[in-house]
Amino acid sequence: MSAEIAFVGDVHGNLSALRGLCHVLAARGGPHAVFLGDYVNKGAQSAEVMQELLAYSRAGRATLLAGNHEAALLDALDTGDLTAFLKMGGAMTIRSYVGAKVGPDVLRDFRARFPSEHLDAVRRMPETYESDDLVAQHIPPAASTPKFRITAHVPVGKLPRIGRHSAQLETGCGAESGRLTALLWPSRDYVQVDARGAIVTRGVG
Amino acid sequence: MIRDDVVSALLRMNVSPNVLEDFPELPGEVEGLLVYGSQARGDAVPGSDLDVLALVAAPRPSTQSGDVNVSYYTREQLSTGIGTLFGAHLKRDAKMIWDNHGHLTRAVEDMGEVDTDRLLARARSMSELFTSPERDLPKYLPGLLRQARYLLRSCLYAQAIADGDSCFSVRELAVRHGDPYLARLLASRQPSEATVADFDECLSRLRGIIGEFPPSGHGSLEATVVNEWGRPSDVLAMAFMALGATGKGSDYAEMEKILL
Repeated sequence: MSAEIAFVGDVHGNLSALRGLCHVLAARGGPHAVFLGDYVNKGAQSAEVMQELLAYSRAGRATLLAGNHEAALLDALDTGDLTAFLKMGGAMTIRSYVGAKVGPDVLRDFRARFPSEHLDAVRRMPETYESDDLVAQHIPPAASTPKFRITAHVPVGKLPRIGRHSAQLETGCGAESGRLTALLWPSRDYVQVDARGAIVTRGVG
Repeated sequence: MIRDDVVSALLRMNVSPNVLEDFPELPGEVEGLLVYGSQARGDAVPGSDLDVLALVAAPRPSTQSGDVNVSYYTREQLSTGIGTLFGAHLKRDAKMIWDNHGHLTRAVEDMGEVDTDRLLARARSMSELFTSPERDLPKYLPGLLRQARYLLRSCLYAQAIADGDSCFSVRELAVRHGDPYLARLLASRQPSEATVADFDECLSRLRGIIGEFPPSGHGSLEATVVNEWGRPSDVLAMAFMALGATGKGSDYAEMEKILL
């Protein structure tokens, strides 16, 4: 068991990138991974990404935080109002779960194919992961803290931003040219894979 | 150019001082400014909006203050108006207020002609969005009515161009068509909530121009958005806009700015 922790930015439905990154992390000794949310939408494989992440989580290898896309997904399923989720690009997630052309009653099709274990898992996702020296959450917090802050959500281009007090990890995964980034703690090194899951960068923060 | 200079220029164009009271401060990066619509044509009536287009370097959302609407466009966004009704409208009616580098003037000159046959065919394909009202109206009437108005207005403009007598005034079109109700139906500012009656009035006039609508391939607005997502299409853009504004705007997926 490694003492290292990996913090992973937005995945957005890209299963190849997720698998590629996990492969890279496994080669480093399989650190515990804290995923910073936004597992669904944009990429084509939201359902498969969720399935894989839940398996990591059940095996105790990962902590899954909620992102704003999970919050909108949960809100849509709880209220039965898909509008806001669709405006955020929820179509990709619905298609991924339904697996075929949806019928006129989209909510019914989606609910019928969205596994209850996924719903329970999304409902249980915490927003924050905190330890003595760091705090990680999807959206950058408004309140200041002396701890090291790790966030995603806000696009920062191809490379993560790693400073003395904070790191930002949303490097566009889910788009064709995007990358998936993991920050390694405590070294503050990072590893990245491209949209196909091939390793592209290993940098020092 | 500062706000006072803009307001003075607009007063010289006979824009009502009442309307100009609401004229907002403009961001410093604005490189050019023009007026379009009824105030530019000089056929504004009391209650008419002032429509202003500002050229900027980076995209920013449109604003509305009182009766003044300011839409911000980059040169790239404006270039998507070439061959569209919006572009033809600017080319015919816009009045330049100021233009630091001449970019805005050139962008408007480059707008070109509208292919009206193509536009009406596109409008017809988009109209499939209105063929599942039982499922959609309870939830999406305001958005669907807005898109029906947009489509009807666009088709009327295109028809006028095709007839060799272009016109971008709904009041003038109402007179031409002997249809006084049209002016109220298509007014940019609607005094009351969306009604099914107005929706039906729009659709019957739209059918009069483009014929029967093709049946929906998806059976509902939401299914159209889900099934069409990822392949850029007119019907997807229309459906996405018909969802309306809800939730946090900053989280929205991006869509193109100019359609027809």
